[in-house]
Parts: sequence; structure tokens; C-alpha cells
Amino acid sequence: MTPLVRVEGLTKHFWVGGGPFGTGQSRLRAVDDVSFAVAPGETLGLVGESGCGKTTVGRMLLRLIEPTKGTVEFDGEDLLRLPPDKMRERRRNMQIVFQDPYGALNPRMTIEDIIKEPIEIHGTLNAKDARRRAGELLARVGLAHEHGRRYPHEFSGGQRQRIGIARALALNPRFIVCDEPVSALDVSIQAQIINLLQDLQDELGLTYLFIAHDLGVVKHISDRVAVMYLGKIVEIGDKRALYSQPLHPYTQALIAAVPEAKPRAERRKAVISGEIPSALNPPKGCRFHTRCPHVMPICRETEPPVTETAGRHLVACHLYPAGGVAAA
Amino acid sequence: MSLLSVRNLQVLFATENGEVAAVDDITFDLAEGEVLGIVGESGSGKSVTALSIMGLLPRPPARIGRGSVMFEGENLLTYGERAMRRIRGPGIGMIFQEPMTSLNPVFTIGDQIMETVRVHEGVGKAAQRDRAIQMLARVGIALPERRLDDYPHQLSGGMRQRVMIAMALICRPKLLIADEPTTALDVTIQQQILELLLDLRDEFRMAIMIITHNMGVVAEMADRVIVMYAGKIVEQAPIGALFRQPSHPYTRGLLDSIPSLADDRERLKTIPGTLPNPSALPPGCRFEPRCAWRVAACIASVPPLVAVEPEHHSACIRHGELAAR
Repeated sequence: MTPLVRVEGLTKHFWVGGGPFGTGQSRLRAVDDVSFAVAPGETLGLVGESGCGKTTVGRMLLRLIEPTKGTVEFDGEDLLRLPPDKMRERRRNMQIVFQDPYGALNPRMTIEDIIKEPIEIHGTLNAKDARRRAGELLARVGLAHEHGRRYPHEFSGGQRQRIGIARALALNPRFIVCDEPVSALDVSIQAQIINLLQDLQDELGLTYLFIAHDLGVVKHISDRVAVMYLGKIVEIGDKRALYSQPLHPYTQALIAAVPEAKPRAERRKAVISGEIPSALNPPKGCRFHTRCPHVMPICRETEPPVTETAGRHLVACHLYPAGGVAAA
Repeated sequence: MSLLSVRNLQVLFATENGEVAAVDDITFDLAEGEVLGIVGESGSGKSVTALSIMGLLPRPPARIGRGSVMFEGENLLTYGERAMRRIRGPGIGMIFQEPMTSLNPVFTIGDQIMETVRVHEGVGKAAQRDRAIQMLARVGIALPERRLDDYPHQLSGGMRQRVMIAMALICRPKLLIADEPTTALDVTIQQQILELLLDLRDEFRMAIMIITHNMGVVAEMADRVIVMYAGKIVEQAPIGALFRQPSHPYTRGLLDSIPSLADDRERLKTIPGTLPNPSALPPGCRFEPRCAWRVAACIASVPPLVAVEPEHHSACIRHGELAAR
């Protein structure tokens, strides 16, 4: 199937620090040569720890952050070549839901006005229809009509996230970037929002890029999952394959580190030691080599190529030489 | 005898709508060397419980309505600020979710750890420094003699949490209260910190009270668990029993709503609704409006904690039927 979203060689370098006139700045490689595709109606999960670049990827897809290099195709069209006015038009089709629903809602606007705002900006409906549409959207995300007259501070975290979702749906988008949409919520509320996102996907045929650090949540909602480490995708594959037989040592460590809600007799030992190196000065060769339990001499020198294994499962690791996969 | 024994503790907060009980009539014990998990969502009262034990409640708006907090046989609630300061450190240490807010940004790591040693042990500068270096090394900080001169902002989140642990443990407390100690950390770092806490527990033979919303963290750490909801304890059990036979609908709901790595469900079970407003609490069981098991009797009166089996208590009047399912 033709992908709805296709990303090739996406790269973002930020220049940080330094004195006036940009002297002595250093390059922060937030995202480095990232490629993936999302099929219509699919959910691609993007996981990784803080600072791995997953949020920057999500924002670059909508050009909320301009990429340094690479292409972002939406429905076959390269978004990065579009002039601003055309890009704004395309954004009707692509929306984003943020982690902190409170920070993302204007405290001085009523809920109805917040939901109507994108409709007004894009001028898709007249005032009366816009109001009716706002009411429909509220009902669709599980809120009551009269909630529209209230202000964001009157709502709980879960309700605010529902409002953020209603706003994202206002223009009938085809694609939504969900950037840690449930991380700030309590578990009982988190489950409600995850179910809501799944229902909306089924009914409206939505395509999601679901960014999160919680591996359980990502496994639950995604069809395929991409794992990022220090600006790179290290592994991407069907969620069942990726979780049951993770190939990259980082993916293996990440999955093993999740504390399971099941008491066990013996104490577990940490799988990997050390911390994530700085993206200002990422390790040479494979970026994970400083923490990898399987590190080999080649890993310190050469960046591992991306190898495809069975069933569109891609991994960037020297343990899996191109042309054949060693038994893991 | 228990190391810590909390009896009928009620903590009130003054609000625009009058006083509300953030913690209402809770009773529990903690033995020496035991790890007790306190689980609950936001607004459950778990952090307020910790702060009242430490004497760190903001007063006003908070005040103790009634109850006692006995630590080694003394009621801490009768202690003034000076007496409490002698307990914090050698008696009870505490670490918080966000170490950056509990470390002073204008002092070096070394200054802050050495200050703790100076106040509580009155040893000289050189000895303070040695102790600080030893402790930093123990919590897994590389090159501790160099780190002593760093400021908190120069450290990563995981490192700051290690420094907080070093500060809390340097006076060898008998009880460590850890309030969401790994919530702000990445999973690979979280695992390292949890492992460190358990190692230190064995080494120092201290008790730990770990407060968390994460059932996985509790399963990994705790010997015994208390589940709180809207200021009340709804269930209390040894760790194995809680997961094997959750005996309160809220505990069940919590466990069911976690998307775990092991399951392949299409849909998550949810707990409908939200936490009750603390100034308009339901008259009987506080979970009743959200409960799938509610009956008329649930509204009539506040259900007491009753024994499901020895050591395992539930505040649900239908715990027997729940167990049968």
C-alpha cells in the first residue's frame, strides 16, 4: 500500500551555546538521518528515552520545526518544498495532540472557542455550523455540550486531553501526531484516553504517529514500532516481532528495564549501565556502543548499516551483518 | 514493635470551600527493614501522608485533624520544628520525585552533603568531605571527588537522584521515604535507581516507604502494599496477595487498566469517571460513584477496612464476592 506519510533522511541539527554572533556554537544532532513510512490507517509507535529526538521528529512532520535535511512526503507530496501558505492548507490534514493539555489550551478562551479556532482560521464553516461542529466534537470525545461554555482550568487532566483531541479533530485530519498524549495522566484515566484514540481511529480511519516513552502503552496502541536512541532509529518492525524478539541490544535493554506489574521471587539486575551520552558529542560508530553489552571493535569505528530481516523488521546493529541475520 | 506506626491520621487543608481532608483516618505500620509501597493516583493523599510523617506539611493551609505518628515510640506530631530537625537525617530520610527542586542550585553538591554531616554529626571539614566522597561513590557516582565541586544543574536527572539518595542516606536513617523517586527518570535509569535502593536497604538495614503510581515499581520493590483512594486506604496486603487476589474494585481497576508488555488485549479496561472533588466527597465509599460493584449499602456508610485473610485488608463490603470471581 502507498504510505500516507513517508520520511527519508530526516535530520535536525540545532546550534546551541556560544557567544554573540554565533561564535563558538556547537552542533546538537537532535535527529540524524531518520527514515520511515506510515501506511493509511496504521499506528506507528515511536519510543525512546528523553532526548532521543522523538518529539523533534513529530514536530518536523508538521513543519512546526524546520528540518535541516531530508524529505517529508504526505500523500506523495514533498511538504518541505511547499511555500508557507500551501503548507498551512496541508496542515488541515495533519494535526498534533500534545503531552501537556493544559499548556496547549489558551486559559482565556472557552472550550467551544478553542475547538472552533482551527475551523475559523481555515474558514471551512460559517459561524453557525462551526458552533454545531464544536458541539459534535465535544460529544465525540465524551464531553457534554455545556462543557463548551467553560474554561480550561475547570477541567481535570483527562478532560483537558479530550479537549485537545477534539481540537485536533476539528478539521477532519487524516493524520495525527500524538506526542506523549497520556504520559501526564493517571493510569485509570490513561486507559480511557487510549481507548478513545483507538475508537476514533476505527471510526474515522485516522493514521497515527504515536510518540511515547512508555513501552506498554506503545505496544498496546501501535501496529508497528520504531525505537530511537540519540537521534537515530535503531530498530523498526511489527510490534509483535519487535516485542517478542527484539534485535537491537538497546531495544532488548529497554524492554527488560520495564518493571512489570507482577511480583517476582528474585531481584532483577539492571541490564545496561551508564547514561545516555550527550547529543552534542554523540559516540563515534554506533551511538549505543558506550552502553552496549555486546560491543565489538567495529562498533566503536563504523556506524552500523540498516539491515532488513524477515517481515520488514529493520535493525541498525553490527550483530546483524547485511545479507543475513545471525541467530539472536 | 513497629518502627513507624501511624494511627487514625487525618490531615486537613483549608480551601475556598472550607476545610477538606486530604488524608482521612488512615492507620498502618512499618517494621524495621521492611519495604512498604503506597500506591495511588493524584489526589489519593499518598504524598500528604509522607509529608505529615516528615513534619513538612505547609501549615497553613494544612493542619493535623487528629491521629498520631509514632516513630520508635515517640509521637512525631507533638514535635516542634527543632525536634523534627533531629529526626530528619538520622531518623527518617526523604527523597522526592524531582531532585532539582530539592537541591539548592547555588551550592555545590559537596557543600550540601557536607552540611548534612556537619549538622548531625559535628565532625570536622576533612571528615565531612571523606564521608561525602564515600557516600557518592556508594550511590554509583564516578569520580566523586571531582563531582563534589559540581552544581546541581551540571548533573543529569539520574545523577541528581543519586545525589539526593546520598544526602538522604549519609546519616544512616532507619527509614527512607521515597516519593515517586523514579517517575521523572527514563526506564533504563529507573531500573538502576531501584536496584540501588534495594542494595542500600540490605546494606544499611533500613526500612523504605516507597510512594508511587506505578504498579510495576511496587511489584519490584515492596514487601507490602497500601492502596489509597481519595484520602483513604482501600486495601492493604502483602505484595504477592495484592496481585494474586486484589480485593478492592479500585485495586482491580488499576491493575486492569495498565497496558502491560505481556498482554495482547485489543481494548483496555477502564475505570469510568474521575476522582471525586475533595470538598464534595461521596457520603459512603468514596469509590462508589465509579464502581462496577456498587450496591445501595455502599452509600449508607463509609466501609471500614476488614480482614480478607490475615495481613490482607480491604475496605469493600463485597470483598468476598470479589474474591470468588
